[in-house]
Amino acid sequence: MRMKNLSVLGLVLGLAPAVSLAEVELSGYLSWAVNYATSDNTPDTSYYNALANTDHADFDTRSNHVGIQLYSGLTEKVSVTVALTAEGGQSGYNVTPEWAYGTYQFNDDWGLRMGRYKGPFYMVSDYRDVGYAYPWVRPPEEVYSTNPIKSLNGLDLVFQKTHQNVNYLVEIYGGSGTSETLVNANIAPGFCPPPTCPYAPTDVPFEFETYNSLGFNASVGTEAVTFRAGYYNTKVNAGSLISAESGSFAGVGLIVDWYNIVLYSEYIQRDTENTPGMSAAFPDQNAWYATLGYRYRTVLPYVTFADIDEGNDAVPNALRQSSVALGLRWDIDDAAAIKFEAKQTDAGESSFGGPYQKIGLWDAPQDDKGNIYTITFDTIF
Amino acid sequence: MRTMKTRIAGTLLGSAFFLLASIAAAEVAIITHPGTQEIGLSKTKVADIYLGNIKSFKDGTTAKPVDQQKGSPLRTKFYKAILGKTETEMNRYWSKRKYTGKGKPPVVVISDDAVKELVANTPGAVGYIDGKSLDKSVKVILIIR
Repeated sequence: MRMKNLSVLGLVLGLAPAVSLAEVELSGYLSWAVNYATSDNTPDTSYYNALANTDHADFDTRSNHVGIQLYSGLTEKVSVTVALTAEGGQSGYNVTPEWAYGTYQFNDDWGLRMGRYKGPFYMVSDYRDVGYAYPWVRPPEEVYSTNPIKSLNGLDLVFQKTHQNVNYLVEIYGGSGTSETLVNANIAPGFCPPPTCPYAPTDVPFEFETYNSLGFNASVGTEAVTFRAGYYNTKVNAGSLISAESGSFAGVGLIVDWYNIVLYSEYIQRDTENTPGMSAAFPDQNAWYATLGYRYRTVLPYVTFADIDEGNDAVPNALRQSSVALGLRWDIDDAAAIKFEAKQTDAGESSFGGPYQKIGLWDAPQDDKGNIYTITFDTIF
Repeated sequence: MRTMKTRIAGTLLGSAFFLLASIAAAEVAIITHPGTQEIGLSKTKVADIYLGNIKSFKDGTTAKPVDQQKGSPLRTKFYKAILGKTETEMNRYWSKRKYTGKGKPPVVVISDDAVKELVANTPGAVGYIDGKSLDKSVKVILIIR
């Protein structure tokens, strides 16, 4: 097989008058994580619905991501990008083409992506699986868990220009897709909230469809400072619970990478229609985080403060949690990093519901404190 | 080992044509296709071409930067001199862009001869080689000493 491939390659190279730039280029990334969680709650709470069970190290593949990207420039204006990504699931890896699109580059500044692509909902949403690209073990969950949509099938019009050392980016995108998130067992699929049904202290997978969506992502920045703003609105369907109801995600962000100082910060608002279905599965939320780090040679120690709270409409299912995380990124090689993080979460208080109502992320009831310890290995190739 | 071979080959080829070749071994020559009209490109412009910020020359030809292999001393020297960046910093730069459709790192080839061949035959191509490997097949933009 290998011999055959080589001879075909040889034939192609032999026939080509010059070395061609239009070949298939292969690249990829890998992120691996181990989690350990402790909690002061009784009974034990879990992290990500048992992603990290309390009191034992958890190698659940759900925090692992592998991706292999194939890129081919067919002509100077047309290219094709396909990625096979494997995200760990409860029962092992699920291999999916997370993105697969064709690009038509009108000119230096304007391009159109057609197909399946990662939605640029928040600042690092479109590369959130590439752990190597950011300082944290994971993008802060308080902000990033609020939008469970990962990929869209549709169009993405991109304007990119650098003028006098300032980079400008404007993206207008839209499409549709099917996504899955975890919601409390009381919500899906039968929607039987307490006290009608007993409170179920677990989360279950919840599938929903998004369509008629439209958004923008804009940033302006120099090498040291980048400002970012975005807005995304979509219609949602989910079984009998949600029918043609809308939700939006707005956010502003800032990245500073100036000498040794590293700063990441974002503020987002999830605003959904105040209907029983949307308020149960996707309640209004406001969330923010701020990360400050100091890069010294190959190490980057950082601290992250994060918070998620009820949004415009205060509803019982809104999550309330604040957290502090201490982390360290260590670049062990040109293309690999090991990261350590200890995060303490504190579930807030709610005027709704009883003592068992889920308040924090990860099934934590009110006033519950939890600690999550994570080690990751991130590489690109 | 590869570098040694490259240098020997480069010396044999280059010295016949250029005085430059006799100067110190650590010299990096930034080269372009002979048809490129804009010569004497500034350091910033070369940097912007390698970052993907400048995508074409004034005459409309698409700029096609070419890289040497990762870890090669020439590559390290080039990126330090032109962009002030290490391999790790460049990896971080591209990891945010290449998986999001916001950019594509330069094509990588394995030797000075391969860079020269590609640059000599591809309009708009820009590359860098050991000064000793220079010959008339390509146009010189800048020399880093």
